[in-house]
Amino acid sequence: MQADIAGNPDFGHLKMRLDRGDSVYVESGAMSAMDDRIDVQIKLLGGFLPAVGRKLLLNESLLVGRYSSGAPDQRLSVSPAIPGQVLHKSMQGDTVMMQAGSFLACTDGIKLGTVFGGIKALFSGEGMFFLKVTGNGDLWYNAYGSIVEKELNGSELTVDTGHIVGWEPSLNWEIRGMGNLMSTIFSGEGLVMRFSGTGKVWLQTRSVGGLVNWLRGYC
Amino acid sequence: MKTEIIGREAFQSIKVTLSPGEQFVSEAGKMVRMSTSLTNEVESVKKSGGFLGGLKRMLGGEAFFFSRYTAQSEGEVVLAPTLPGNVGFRELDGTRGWYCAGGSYLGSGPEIKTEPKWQGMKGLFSGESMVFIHATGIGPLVMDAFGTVTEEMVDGSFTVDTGHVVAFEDCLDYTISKAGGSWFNSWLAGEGFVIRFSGQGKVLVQSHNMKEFGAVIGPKLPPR
Repeated sequence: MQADIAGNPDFGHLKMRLDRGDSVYVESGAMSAMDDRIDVQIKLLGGFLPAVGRKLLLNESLLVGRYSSGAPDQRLSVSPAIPGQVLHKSMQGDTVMMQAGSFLACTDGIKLGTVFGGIKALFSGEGMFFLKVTGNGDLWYNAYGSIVEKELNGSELTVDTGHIVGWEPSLNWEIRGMGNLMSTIFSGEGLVMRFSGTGKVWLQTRSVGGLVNWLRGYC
Repeated sequence: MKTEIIGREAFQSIKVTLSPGEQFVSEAGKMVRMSTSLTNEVESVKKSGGFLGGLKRMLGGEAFFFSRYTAQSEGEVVLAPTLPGNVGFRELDGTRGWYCAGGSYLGSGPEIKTEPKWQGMKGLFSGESMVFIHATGIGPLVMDAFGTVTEEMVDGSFTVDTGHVVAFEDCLDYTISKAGGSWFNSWLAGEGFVIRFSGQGKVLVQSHNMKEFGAVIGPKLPPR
């Protein structure tokens, strides 16, 4: 298998060539083009009923497509929905937490699970579930804008929820409001994540919530 | 006539330089600037295929009208797409035409004929490519894209999400169908439609998908 990131930093996407027997997991709807000898199976993250519930209640899918090649040298292109950077991480038994929208693709040896973000996550505008990515292999993730890595060594960091891409679970994390709970919930703004301990946090330089709030002024 | 792509990758435009008497046609509303030595005539709906032709172009995500630029003396016109991304052109030699999908037609030389092709009910459900613009003839054909463009060779068969198709050579056969799996899976996954190409020819694929980008932003906006 060969995988190249193209189009960075503005229009990052993934161009892969799969050999017979190769398979990759891809965020649902992110396949843009492929050769004919690739088969697709839809996989629900977290089981069937929770997946249907999330779709009905929250319109969140958390589905991935499993793309498997039945022939050598099959093209597969994968693109995120939002313009920005695509990055690769080589996973060697480590675990990362991700905003669901930041996951783009991974190889077969990586497991994807869902973690409930708590009731406050519902109001963050970024979705109620986080992805827990663990295992061995290649992980590709994307951001709105470019990606900035911050490393904490016992220090603390406060990040707007809309700018979170992912973090290492060695860190403590909680979602909290900038003001009191009621004003946070009713304004839909000012939710932050507070990290402490040791580990890395990945941030994106733009937020979808920011774009949406700007557009609201013109609706 | 000279065509030149200007601007960097994410924000490209095209500059067309015309000699006296030369003409260029564009999708209406895409002009950024033009020399005073050029006249700009909006083609009446009748001239470009009647009311129905104009309606089809509107449904296809194209403007209702075309603009025709004529140079009285040498001058230039700059055209730009709506969203960030690449602008590119192909020189048509009269042997093969191109189908432009999803609003990718930006402009063309005066010897290029542009005809909307209705894609039927399946096209309607796909939400973005109900009408393709079939461009034939000789001269430059200018297209725009959301993101960067890759030219993919089809030899056999090749599948592209409808929202990622910029254009394809008219020698290719194609069918519009639902992305793999059952209707239920498709609903769960939020998958759209794909175009399955067969034969031998070129397809221009854009890295990003306007419909998917809109689907991320749209539901978060208040209803009109």
